[in-house]
Amino acid sequence: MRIATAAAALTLCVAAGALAQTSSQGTTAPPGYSPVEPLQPQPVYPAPPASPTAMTSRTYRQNYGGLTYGWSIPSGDFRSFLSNDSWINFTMEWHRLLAPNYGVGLILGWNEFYQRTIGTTDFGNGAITGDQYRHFNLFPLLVDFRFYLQKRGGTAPIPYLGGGFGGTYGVQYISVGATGASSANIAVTVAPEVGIIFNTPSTAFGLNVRWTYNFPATYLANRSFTPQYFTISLMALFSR
Amino acid sequence: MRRTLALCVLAAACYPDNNFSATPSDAVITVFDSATDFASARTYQMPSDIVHLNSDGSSTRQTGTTDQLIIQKIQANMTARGYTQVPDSATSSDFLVLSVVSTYQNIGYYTYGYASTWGYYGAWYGAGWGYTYPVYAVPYQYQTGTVVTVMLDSRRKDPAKKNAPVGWAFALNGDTTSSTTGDVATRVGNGIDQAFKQSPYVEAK
Repeated sequence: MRIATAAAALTLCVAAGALAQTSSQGTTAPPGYSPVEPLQPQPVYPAPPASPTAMTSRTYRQNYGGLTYGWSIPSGDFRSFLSNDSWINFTMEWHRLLAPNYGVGLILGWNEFYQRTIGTTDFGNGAITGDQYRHFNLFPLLVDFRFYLQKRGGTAPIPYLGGGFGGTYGVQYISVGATGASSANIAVTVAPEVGIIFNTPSTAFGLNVRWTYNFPATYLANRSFTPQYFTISLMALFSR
Repeated sequence: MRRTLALCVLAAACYPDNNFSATPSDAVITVFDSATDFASARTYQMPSDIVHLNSDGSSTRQTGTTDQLIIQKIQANMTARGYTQVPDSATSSDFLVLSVVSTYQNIGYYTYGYASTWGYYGAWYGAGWGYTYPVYAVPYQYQTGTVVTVMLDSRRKDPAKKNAPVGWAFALNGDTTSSTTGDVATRVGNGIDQAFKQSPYVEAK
């Protein structure tokens, strides 16, 4: 009995599809039957909003997150302490659109710099000579604002300008010979950025250039210091 | 204020050429008090032995081979910088130079701040005197194999407080437990030379 019912339902579906096929070819539906809409291929991305300025791509949904990996180079007085570039830079990001062309986000990062050198370092009222290992770990937590410069919808690249504001927990460490010391502090951070987002049928990714500037804070020897660095990152974006 | 000398390494770093050769564990740290007039000083006193700190907190005065090397190296460098050593019996000098050696691991701060603790009772000081560190100079957290030398500015000592400021100090630190650390005496000698080399302001003019 159930088999018969299922078979009947399948028959009706096939018949409806045939009618729809016929209807799409201009044939009028028989009296008593409503035209059936033809099946449409489902888009990978949601349907574009009606507004011509609204965003249509996957990354322009209301929320999106990302993981980034980047290369950093110190600048300013940070460079006098550590001149080596770094390949240890990661962030986790989450962004929410407040309007079609701007949004706010949260960024949690980890940037690590280190350098080994030997020589004499002057520190104002003295000097130190030896095999030095210098190290700085930075963990920024930023509220990020982005303005999207989208020129057209669809899957076109989406450039943006933005900036983050927040705080960074920094840990400075140095060892000279067999002696080492470390100091940690939290600094106010600003991080202007530019970037571009690319969409593909299956995913979205982007490039980001950010200058992270930490306002002066005291670390080792109770001396003021401003860790700052440029980071070029590759972003893997996702949305839900 | 009481932090290790190693904390003083910071920004504005520069790396002049130098021929300091040491094992990777060696470090030479110098600090000075900008209020000390090194150029006008002429004389200094220095005991003929070195204080050794023991693991139980006590100290002994020793005159071993390495101790004599330390003394001779300091004397040679002080002479080269234009200073003249005067005997302990002298009742006046511009600097008092004291050295202490620790050859055991100690994670505490260097708090032996009194000449009397080191067993030195020169005529110019007597018992019960201490000293203060210059700005940013701090007690040294000494580890295995440390030589600390302080140069007290006797011209600025305070009889009321029985206290004299440290005009200059250096610390040599290195690992003496490894079989690959080389000759300790040579390393100590090179370290003292390096301490003077990176302190060109310590010079009578």
